[in-house]
Amino acid sequence: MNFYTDDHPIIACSTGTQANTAIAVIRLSGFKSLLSLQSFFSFSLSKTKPRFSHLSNIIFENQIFDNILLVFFPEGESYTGENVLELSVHGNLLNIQKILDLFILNADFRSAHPGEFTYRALKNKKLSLSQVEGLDMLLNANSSLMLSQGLDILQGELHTQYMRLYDSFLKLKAAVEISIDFSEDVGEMESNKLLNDSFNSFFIILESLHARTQGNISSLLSPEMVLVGQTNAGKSSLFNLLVKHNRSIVSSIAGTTRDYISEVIHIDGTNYNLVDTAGIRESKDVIENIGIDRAFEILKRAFFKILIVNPLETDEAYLEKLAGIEFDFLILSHSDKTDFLSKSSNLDLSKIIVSQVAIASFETGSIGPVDLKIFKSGPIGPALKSGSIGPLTKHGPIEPLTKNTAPIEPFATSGSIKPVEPKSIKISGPIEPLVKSLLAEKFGIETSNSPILLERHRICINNLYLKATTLSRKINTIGDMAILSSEINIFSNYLSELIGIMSPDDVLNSIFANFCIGK
Amino acid sequence: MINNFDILIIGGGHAGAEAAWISSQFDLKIALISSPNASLASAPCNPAIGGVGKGQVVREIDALGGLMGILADKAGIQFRTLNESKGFAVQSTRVQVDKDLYTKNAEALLGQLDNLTIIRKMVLNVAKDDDTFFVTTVDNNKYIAKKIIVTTGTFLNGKLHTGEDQKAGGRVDCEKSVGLNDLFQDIKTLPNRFKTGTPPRLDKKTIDYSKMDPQDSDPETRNFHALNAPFTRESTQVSCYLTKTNAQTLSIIRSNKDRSPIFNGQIKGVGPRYCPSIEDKAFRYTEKDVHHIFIEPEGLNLETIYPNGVSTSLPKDVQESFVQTILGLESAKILIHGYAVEYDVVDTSQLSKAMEYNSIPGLYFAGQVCGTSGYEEAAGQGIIAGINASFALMNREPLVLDRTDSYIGVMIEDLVTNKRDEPYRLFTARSENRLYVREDNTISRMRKYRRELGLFTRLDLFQEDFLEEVELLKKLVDSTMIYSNEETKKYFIVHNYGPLDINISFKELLKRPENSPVVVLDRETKRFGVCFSIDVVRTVAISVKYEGYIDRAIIESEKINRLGKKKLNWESLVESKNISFECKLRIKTIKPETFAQLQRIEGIRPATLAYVAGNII
Repeated sequence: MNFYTDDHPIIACSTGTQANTAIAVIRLSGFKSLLSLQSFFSFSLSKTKPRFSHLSNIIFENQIFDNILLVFFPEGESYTGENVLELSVHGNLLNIQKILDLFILNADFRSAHPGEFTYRALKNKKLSLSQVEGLDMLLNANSSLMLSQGLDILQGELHTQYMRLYDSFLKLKAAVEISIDFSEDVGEMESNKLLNDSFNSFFIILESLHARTQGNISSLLSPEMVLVGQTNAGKSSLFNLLVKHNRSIVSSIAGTTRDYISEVIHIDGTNYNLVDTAGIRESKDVIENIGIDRAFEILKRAFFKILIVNPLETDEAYLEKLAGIEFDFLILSHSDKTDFLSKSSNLDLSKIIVSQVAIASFETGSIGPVDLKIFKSGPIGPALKSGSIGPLTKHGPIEPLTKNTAPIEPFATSGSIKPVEPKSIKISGPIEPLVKSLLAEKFGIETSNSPILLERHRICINNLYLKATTLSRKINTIGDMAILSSEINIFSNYLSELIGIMSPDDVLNSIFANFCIGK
Repeated sequence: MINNFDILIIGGGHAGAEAAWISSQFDLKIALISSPNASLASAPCNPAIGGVGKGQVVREIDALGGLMGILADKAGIQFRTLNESKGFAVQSTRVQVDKDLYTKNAEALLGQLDNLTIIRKMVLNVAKDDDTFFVTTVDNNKYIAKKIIVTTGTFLNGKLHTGEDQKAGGRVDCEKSVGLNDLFQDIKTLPNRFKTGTPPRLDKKTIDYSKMDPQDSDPETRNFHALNAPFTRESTQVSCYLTKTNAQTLSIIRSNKDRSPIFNGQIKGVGPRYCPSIEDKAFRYTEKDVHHIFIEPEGLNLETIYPNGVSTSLPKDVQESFVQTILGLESAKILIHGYAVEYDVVDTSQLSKAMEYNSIPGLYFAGQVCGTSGYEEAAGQGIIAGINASFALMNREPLVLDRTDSYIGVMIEDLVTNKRDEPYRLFTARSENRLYVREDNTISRMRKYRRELGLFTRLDLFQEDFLEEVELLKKLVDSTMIYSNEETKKYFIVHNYGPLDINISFKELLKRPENSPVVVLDRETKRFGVCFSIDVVRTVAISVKYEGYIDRAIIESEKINRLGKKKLNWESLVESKNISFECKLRIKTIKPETFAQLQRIEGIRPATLAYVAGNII
């Protein structure tokens, strides 16, 4: 952030400059005094009431530029902490540019760098670092989950949790110091009890935060729904169905390749990247194989995976390749064809891991339950499958997929192991709403513990949890308080990365505020 | 008669006594001016020397060649090792002393120094002309000195309170030093006065000890003075007793809130939170009625008992009635009533680490006048001020103790880099290097400083020998392996040394958590017929035990220190728009040069730290 070094007054259009709009807001920050800008306004600025809006013309050298509303936020009471003036101007792009230029050329303003207003807010302590991260998430959210967590970090529940963690750690440190410096004052029994209690309450808060860092969170941040299947299985039909009904105002992320096509769809407050992987097939072509590898990668990290199989044209080798991938939904397509049932019963689906199964016809656009007993070659899948995280407990030819990377006892707290056998959907109806509801249901389950989305926070919490777990095993056997204290001090490094620096005086203050010290 | 001195010390308390004692070791002419009513190095509050963190300070003073350890050993009537079960690093010695013996010995030891003149007068005026100080006493005698050390304790503008009674003074029965008020017109004092208090003294014949729990002297606690045999006591040993307050005690105090000078606004000074008066305890912790009281004898032949835990400035009649509600004190008679004293405190951020006042060269401050509480803290500053006033006369660089290897260093840096807002006491929590700053390795830590003094006494010989032995034993420990065989395995089982499936280094055995390293090393050296003193064995064994932890703590604290050591330009911080006005004021007075110093300034907001940290990385 080296370029954010000066305190120069800055100006920018805060409402986006992609298209003409009725109103645009131009924000000016960091000027010395409001009155110094008088020459640009017809309204007498000395009459300005802070945080009230006033009608004015923007004028310069007898020329009227625009008719606007202005609001003044004085130093200390504004977003950036500096003097801020917000101008609601007419949102024609040329008009906006003209006004920006006016201030840049004739007053001492320069164009703000991206994020500079927020940087100044951080610098002037209007926001904490984690709040800025929350704001960033709020502004760039592409799901309601990120939106609400952005708010949460800014001022909500997560912010409160971090403060609770800070508080409980301060109490823990205080308890250790009491045991060393003041045990005669407080009493030996009480100081021991204090130490145990304070470690426990610290650990409980940490555990609950840690549980929220588990799971495949990157797949929640920009969730992808992937369609897999051979040519003519019905992928494109499903793709088009979903896009037609749910196209998002957000356009596709750039960077799509010839190996797959993607489109952003909006379902239940969340933007999903819908991907049609064309690439997964046998190939000798080197270039194409790279594409296939990439398709596999996308498939593996995807949030919701749909496998579409056309029993009439199935390639056993193809299904073989998909062994080991956990699908959320298997659609047996072309159910309207006459030999659908007989062909289906010949399918070997024993290596496919899947949660739900249905039969569908893209001709009629309907989907319905399937009798899983029809498969002569045995049941679908290795039968048992886990939830979002954790090793799979299952039998069958495929080795358990241990994709979990959490260091310690990840399951005890997350509670998300739900070994399930594949089951058929229960109802019949149109395809699109059903797929949508399955997707929304999974998203609801996965986010029910309000996962912490920010990578930096998750790393801090995981490091802290690792140290605390190690310590919790031996806290009662460390008789040496000086050693215990030095172990606990190591926490503070991680903790301060998350929530700020803790000084020795904070600890002493906590001691004196909470305990009667002194013989 | 020309009263011409190199160093003149004003105040004969613990700081003044140490300053006088150490500066008299050099070839200098020293004078100590002290109030005629108070004996030297007297203990006007609790009758104990040492305590958690403070015991380390007494040993540090002793290793520098100071007086306090010698006096405490001579007058010690009950010895205790505090935190005995909590690890070697935080163990500290505390000695209950006979106040009478303590001060008599101080008078005797100081009195026998040829180059020290003790003057028992009140000071009327101090003036400075060029590099010379002129001191006038109340009888109009004039004294000339090149350096002045001010150790006036609570006498600077002191005011005593017992209930509604108020009078000027530094302590009971002592008038305040009138001259001191005008004396230092140019000296900055803190805007808030400090307050401290003391409990009523009880007649020891009127106490029923049978109702209380005795606390005996511990024969295994070591003497402070390194040249004394560790466990030989010079005085008769006695017990202290433990009793406690109850609901009735507290309700008497609570019903007299309007007569309490602390709570009715009569006292405006700030008292120490770690040493609250019984009124503070009553009103701040309203749900708690039971508070410990330690019944401590003030001397073998003195009639008074010090009830530690009920410091008070309540009116005399209230003191009498609440004391008699306490178990064992039902018919206790008060000989001297408790009182509080308010006093002015020098702004220590104006001092250098040599304890010299920055803008008035040659003028030093030490002790409670600097806002500390405790005899040990005072003595620690006194010896440093004494050494540095002497060094200045000898044109030598000041002796500055590092906070990483001594509690005295921690204290002085805390004092001079900070404006205090309450009386300062040492806690082990104030040291970042607690695992290293221990009692057992005091000589290893302090030898380099003592060497700077350039003195060659019996103490120096002892210290050099001691360290030589430590080095030798360390080498022995480092180079010893234990081989796994039937015989050694059996031996390990006998002594509960843990498994010996493979060969291990001797160090590894010492580090095993199930063993006391001191016991093991002592046993093993003796078994091989190598004889080291138990103190050498302790130092080495405990150092080995902690070395891994200390190394790791250093690495971890380096992570913080990397930030802490970052230099910063305080002038630019003061210019910055992004720092609050109050923080700027504090920065301006302290002038922090590193981030760590900025961090230690009291009242600096976390947001300021975060902002500065963000900008210097």
